[in-house]
Amino acid sequence: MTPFRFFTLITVLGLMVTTVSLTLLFSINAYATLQLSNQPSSVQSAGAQDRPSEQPHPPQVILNNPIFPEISEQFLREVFSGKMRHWPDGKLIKVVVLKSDSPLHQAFIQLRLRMFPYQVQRLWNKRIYSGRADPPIVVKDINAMRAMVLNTPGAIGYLPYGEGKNKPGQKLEMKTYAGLSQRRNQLSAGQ
Amino acid sequence: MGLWGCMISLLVNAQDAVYTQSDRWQVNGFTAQGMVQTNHSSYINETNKLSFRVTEIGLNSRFKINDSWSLAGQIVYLDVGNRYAKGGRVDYAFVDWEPNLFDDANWSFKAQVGRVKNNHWLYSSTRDVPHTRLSTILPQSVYFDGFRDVALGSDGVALQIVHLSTLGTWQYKWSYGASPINNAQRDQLFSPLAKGKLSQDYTHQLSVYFAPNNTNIEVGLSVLDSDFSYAANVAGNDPFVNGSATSQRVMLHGQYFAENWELAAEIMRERGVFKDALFTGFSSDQFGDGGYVQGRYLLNPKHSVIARIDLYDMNENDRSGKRIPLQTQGVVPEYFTYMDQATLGWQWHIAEQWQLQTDVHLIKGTGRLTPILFPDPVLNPNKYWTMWSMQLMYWF
Repeated sequence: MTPFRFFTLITVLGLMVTTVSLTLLFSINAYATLQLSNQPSSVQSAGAQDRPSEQPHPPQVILNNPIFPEISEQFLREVFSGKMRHWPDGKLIKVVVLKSDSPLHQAFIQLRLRMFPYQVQRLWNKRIYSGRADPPIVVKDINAMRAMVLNTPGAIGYLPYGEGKNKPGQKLEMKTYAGLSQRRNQLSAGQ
Repeated sequence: MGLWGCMISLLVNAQDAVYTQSDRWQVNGFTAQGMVQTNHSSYINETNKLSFRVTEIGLNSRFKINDSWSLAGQIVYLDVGNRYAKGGRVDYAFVDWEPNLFDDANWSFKAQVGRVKNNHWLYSSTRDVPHTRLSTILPQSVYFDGFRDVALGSDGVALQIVHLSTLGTWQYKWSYGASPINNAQRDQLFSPLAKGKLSQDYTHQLSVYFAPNNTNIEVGLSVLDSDFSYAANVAGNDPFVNGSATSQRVMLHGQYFAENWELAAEIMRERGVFKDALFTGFSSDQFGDGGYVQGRYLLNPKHSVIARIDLYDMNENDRSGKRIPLQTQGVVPEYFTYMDQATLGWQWHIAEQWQLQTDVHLIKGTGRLTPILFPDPVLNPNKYWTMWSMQLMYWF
């Protein structure tokens, strides 16, 4: 017990901030490399529920809200962690996910949201058990995901890259969203 | 009641086309049982024998009235030894209103009225929910068990605004209300000899959190101001007199998530003001501080280990507690003015919704044991004491 114990805590906090800063620097570097190469790094089985090696792209977001034209990466992240709960038109967002141990779910969280599965699970648990949010709708596979989003107004979910195309005769238009980085690529390519 | 029922019925019927019954109701819960043992401390029990009083059970529900209005509530049953009063509680019960105020995807507003949770600290809203914590016992500098019932939430109103800016996500939270304090909680917090009525007049909190874009960092600042009053029971031979207390806090919060590890830290400075209550003319005004740093490393998806350092000083002008023996004629030792705790823990995610958690605590000092104003050196004769616990939990 010394009079400087509180400063000890501050020192520990300082070390923590330094560690985090270094990690961030490495992360930013890794992220830049990832963007340049357009290859996922930490999860090689991105969106790989069926054929891991053939799914290099991050999973694709699908949503059932015909009047909402565009969503940002930031909005997406806060929706899937339970913080933003309404579309701008006031309709409730219904988040649809696969089970937490699904490779596609994990790929979606890491590659699209840039978060970690345990982190997202913790955020949801805190919201559910303090009365702030309903849990996401959990479906068993990508067919159930597609059906749930198509049939649930205000729903948002994800599919392996390239699986989010509308099929002839579909009742509702399923909008897909590839993400800002791919959108930038499309724009720069003049598409 | 009739008016409320009629209004809810109208709102519910207006939305029947959208919601199915299963959409409308959500029920979740948790249950946890474990064992705990202390050595040289009355923190859990007086005998220091193995105790199974690590029981936490909760059941909650949300009822969606329409896209903007919901009702939410949770009841809990807690039996955790001397840490706080055993029994059932209405943990929260509020009307949740989330209107489309901004017509903008970058803003959201939420208001809650009723018994609302304290959402201002990292673990305050779910401190009784075992699978949302990293250890069975939270760091006592910030999450002092003696204050559990008054710090968990309050009967009042809470507002929250979320703003997605180009820099990152901002959260602004404000709450105002008061928590009821029953006699068991009074005994725990104040003194078992008390016979009067201890009340929280109000608690007022504000916090701001910021998460920069493209990072997994979140930092926050929160402030708290709360007043208590004690009305002595003169007819019941109450040894105490009317009095009041004020508690004020400033806190910094931070957490960082990486793929295989996470860090969290909270530091706080608090002021405690007491007037009368012990005897007419009693006055105390002191600043204390403390905080913790904790890390968790994920060995694999099933197993993780936790380490934490938690420090607390009751009085910043007497960190080593030298004045206390002088002020109490040697009755209260100096180690009742601080409490430092090192924790090592292990989590085993056994299966979906099942988890086993165990932790070992090495502690120096007893500054965060109840009752605060009447320390018990007989039951807590050592400066150094230890504790271990194990808890199995299930949630749905």
